[in-house]
Amino acid sequence: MSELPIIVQYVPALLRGTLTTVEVSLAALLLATVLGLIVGLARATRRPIVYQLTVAYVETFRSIPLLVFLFLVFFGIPVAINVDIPAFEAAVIALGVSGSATMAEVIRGAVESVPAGQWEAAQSLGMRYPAVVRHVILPQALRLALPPVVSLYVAIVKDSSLILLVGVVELTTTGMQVRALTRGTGTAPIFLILAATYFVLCYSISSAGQWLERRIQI
Amino acid sequence: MLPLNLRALAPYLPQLLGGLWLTLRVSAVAVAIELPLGLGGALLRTSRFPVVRSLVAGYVQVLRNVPLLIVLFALFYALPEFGVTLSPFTAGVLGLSLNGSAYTIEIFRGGLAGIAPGQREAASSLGLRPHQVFLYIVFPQLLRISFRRRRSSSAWRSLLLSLITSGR
Repeated sequence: MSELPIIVQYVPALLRGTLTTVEVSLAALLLATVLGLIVGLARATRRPIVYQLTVAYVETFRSIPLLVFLFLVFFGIPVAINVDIPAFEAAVIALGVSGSATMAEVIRGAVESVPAGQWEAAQSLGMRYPAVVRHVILPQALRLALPPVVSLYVAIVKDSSLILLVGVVELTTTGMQVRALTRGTGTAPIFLILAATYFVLCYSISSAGQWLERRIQI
Repeated sequence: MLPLNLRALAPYLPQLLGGLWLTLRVSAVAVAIELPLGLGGALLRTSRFPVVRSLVAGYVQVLRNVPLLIVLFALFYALPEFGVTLSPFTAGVLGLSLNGSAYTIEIFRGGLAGIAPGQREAASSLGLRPHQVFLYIVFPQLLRISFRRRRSSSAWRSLLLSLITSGR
């Protein structure tokens, strides 16, 4: 690997790229979590109009490929309603909203797996709907939701590699730039570095998830 | 109102349809490779030899934690340095099937674990040979359990291939 010394000088740039990847992913997974919780809980109430709206939301965003959605946010929406969406924000919106559809399904599934007796018991104690959700259902549902939520977070970090297409200078973009600067001689090492970095990021998330899972086991 | 003018796209319809056809072909081939890979991997995961089990586990972990895009780029850009040049179609299909196989292995593994051991024992006590046990008892149940879980389709992941393919 005689190319390694050449690549060493790009380590700071690669670290900056990694930081951007982390920033985008964090913002996106926060957005996905908040939106997903709202939509998922709304869907679990099963009130007719709310329910149909959430079904439409979930099915729409789950069926649009992330790449198309990203282009829609970055190229389409600015033309349609004449606002400027910077690349970073477009990436966060695309990753976050498409992630929120999966999140909503996870939350709905978890809420529905909490036995009906829990609802009935809480309501017969005189608790109101928000109190039941907050104190009885959510604590149990979130435990059930943890494993799929962790895989969603991992998926968001991995999918964030796509945003090189709208020009956010994150890890993959930086890697491709380094590859160009080293005139291709660094191709194999650079992809190894990229793969290893993503692996470390994603593997830490899933390990943290497993640790948390053991901690909160009932 | 949105400045949507679909008529402007009309002249390109044949190209768009061609792209759709390519997408379908890539996805179909990828799935056709991914399913046997997944089944084989899942069976190896239950192998008697610890080394084999950990090798497969490592394969799954790596491919599940590395973005598909990086796998595709590595196959398409890095392999030629080692003297292996793949066409965009081959690299795409290969990347998709490798990536998908990691998930399929896990799904089939879960499916295998979901078949009660009594089923196998009952079958072999009836005198079925190992391959018959697998073919007639394990496999049909495995398919039923697993296909419920194989939802996210390779079809739309294949869109990523546009990054290395020309003309989609």
